[in-house]
Amino acid sequence: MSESTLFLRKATGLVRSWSVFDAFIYAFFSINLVTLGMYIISQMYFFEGGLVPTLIVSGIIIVSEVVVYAGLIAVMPRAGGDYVWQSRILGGGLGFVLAVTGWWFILWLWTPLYADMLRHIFFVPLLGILGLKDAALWFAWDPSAWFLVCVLMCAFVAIIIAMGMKTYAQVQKFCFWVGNAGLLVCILFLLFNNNDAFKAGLEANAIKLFGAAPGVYDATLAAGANAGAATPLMGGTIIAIFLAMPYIVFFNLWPNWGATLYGEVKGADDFKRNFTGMAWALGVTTALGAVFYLLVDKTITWNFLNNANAAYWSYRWGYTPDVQPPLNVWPYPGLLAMFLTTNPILQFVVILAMSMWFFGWAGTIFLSSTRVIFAASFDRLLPEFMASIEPRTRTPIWAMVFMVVPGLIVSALYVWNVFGFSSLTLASTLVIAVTYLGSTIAAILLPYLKKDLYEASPIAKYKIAGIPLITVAGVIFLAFLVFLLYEWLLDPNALYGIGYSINPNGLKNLTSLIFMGAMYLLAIIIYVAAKFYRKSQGVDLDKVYKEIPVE
Amino acid sequence: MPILPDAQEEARRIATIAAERGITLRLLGGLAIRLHSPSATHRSLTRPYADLDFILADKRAHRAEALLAEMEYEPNKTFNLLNGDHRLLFYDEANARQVDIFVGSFHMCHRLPITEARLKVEPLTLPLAELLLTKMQIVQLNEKDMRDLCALLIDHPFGEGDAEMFNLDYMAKLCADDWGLWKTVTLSAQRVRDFCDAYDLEPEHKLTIIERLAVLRTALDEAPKGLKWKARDKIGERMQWYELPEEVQRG
Repeated sequence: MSESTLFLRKATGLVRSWSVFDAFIYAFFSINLVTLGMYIISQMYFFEGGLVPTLIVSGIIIVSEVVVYAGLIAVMPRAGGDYVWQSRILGGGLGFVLAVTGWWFILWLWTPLYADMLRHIFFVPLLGILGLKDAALWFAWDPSAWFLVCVLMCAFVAIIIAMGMKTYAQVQKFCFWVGNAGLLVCILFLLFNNNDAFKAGLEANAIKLFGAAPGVYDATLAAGANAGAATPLMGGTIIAIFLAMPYIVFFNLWPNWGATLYGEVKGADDFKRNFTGMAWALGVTTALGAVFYLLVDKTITWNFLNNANAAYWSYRWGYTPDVQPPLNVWPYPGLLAMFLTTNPILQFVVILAMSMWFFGWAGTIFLSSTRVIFAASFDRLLPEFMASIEPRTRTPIWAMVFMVVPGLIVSALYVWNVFGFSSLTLASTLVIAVTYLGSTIAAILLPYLKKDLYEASPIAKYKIAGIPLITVAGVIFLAFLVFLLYEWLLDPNALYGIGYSINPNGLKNLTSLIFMGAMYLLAIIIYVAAKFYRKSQGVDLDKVYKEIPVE
Repeated sequence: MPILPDAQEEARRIATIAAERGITLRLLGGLAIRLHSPSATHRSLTRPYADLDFILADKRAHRAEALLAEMEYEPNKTFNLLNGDHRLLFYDEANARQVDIFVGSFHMCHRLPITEARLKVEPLTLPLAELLLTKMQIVQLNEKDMRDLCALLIDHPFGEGDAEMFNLDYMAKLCADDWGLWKTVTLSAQRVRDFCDAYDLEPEHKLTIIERLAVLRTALDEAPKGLKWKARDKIGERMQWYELPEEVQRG
């Protein structure tokens, strides 16, 4: 620094809102162990592939996704992410349809899912600990309560997004540290206790907090066995492990969830930085998940947890409608860990801290989507008002309206299981995977279709055997996505229930297919209508797609 | 009324109309320095002014945004939508100028707090202390920054108030609260000392610059520091203490 030279800095410049660490936290929360992870793992009770190997192997494959997205971001760090890349590399129609379905429409389906997680890790345990058993059970089981949580969650998300990126980052950072402190306490409880202590704690707390019948431990094991609990913690054939992946990716396919926001992240044209942020999030989460469930096995036992999961979901899904789960709330591992103490203050504080995993993550449901809506609006595919903000609060009011209102309608369908909507959980992942498929193809072709752009980018120097790294990683991730889509849509082993199963015992889920098809149809209609409308105004959208959007 | 071709006149016009609407908008950057420092017109310190830089203390920037649009400036819609809670950009195509508005605080290599009270010190620009700091907080000083700093230091002494002088106590306090700012300001002072010889200035002006920088350095060193400052000082340059603003592509 003491060497005196003058610089050639041209303009005043801008300090972007988010640091690389903020982007890391966003990625870390996007593959959220406590919300997404515990929620979907609890539903995976009937697989033959071990949980830990499924976590690790899928995590390794998803590194290819991180390479693809880190590369695309470095080449074009723009608000709108997938929409911008696909529309500029593959063409406007495909880019628009795949981006708005995966980053906007399908988030409507995520609304009741986020709310379901919120009620089970926040309202139910905290009300139970406060001695409000009836209120806790109302939130646990009543669809009206669930819908109320959907509304509260949308309000929270709207407020936190309106606060702006800098405040969002501060809230996220607070939640990151507090949430991790809560998880650490749970881990310590699991580490320094044994199964006998858990049995005693479960018996005492489940009865006191939620009015469970005595003998809850053994009753849960029996109910779980009856429901078909099978998933081992370790082991399983490689095929069995792969067959569990279409479920586990509900949780860990999203280290790139901040992709649409990278126009607002410092140094986003640095491939290594982007890769490091997302890869660390993926690596740390995978390791944390493996360690946590191994500790669960040590103290609670995986066998008990998996049986509790089976008893709960089998009843909730209507497979065993006459067998109420003996532990009559969702078997939240954080709460089970805190059953190792009977101190209600400690329980309350730790569960509250653990809920920060939700509150630091909740904004992800709509924040990334707003940027896709903005980008499409700037391209004039959506009306200009969609990218407007309420001037005083800076809330993207119309973008939020078009996410929240349909989100609440879909929530009502899901919560009250109209047309069998509650079977659609994995459709939430499928549609986004299709969007990723588009971006992955764009990434594979980028060095060949946009040669100048690629050669001028910081990723041009990364090659494997002379082939661009982004192409190699893209092919690996593409193969993974094709496998996932095949399993979800054709479901040859009758495991997922959201496609048209070719297995005679499998589900032919027309609700799922119609719902997803309707979203693609809606996107196509909007695109075609916009194209003709703009043409009538003398605007050629094809020319718009030849330009890289400004920052 | 159309946009005026003379940048200085246009800056005055914007600030005046803003004041009439109850918006406290203050000029900073090269033009603000030009308004305060006759030496900015010295043959070796002159430079072009392509941007009008303003600052607004109020986080609610919508009134300023509406005003600039009304004055026929073209907003960078994408940039303002994504960054409008802390920065706004407008263009004046006819005169090839850009209007850059900082909202709520000044945040470049370092963050400088800007309060409504401090904005009221001067009728048109930031107070001189802040003007100097907005330049001295730059880690990658360029030619224009160096000329602006020389002009400011030739024309204004350090003192106890804000009237055509740099408020030394205020500057020392800001640097005593923020080790990073202290570090960059002291490094910038060293660079100005090193570089002022490169300009064709009168010897007494060079001497003035060097003497005034010595006054500043003494005040910064003598100001009482808190525990946080001292702890950060122990780490020193091993950890980056500044941010590097990125270029913004024009819309």
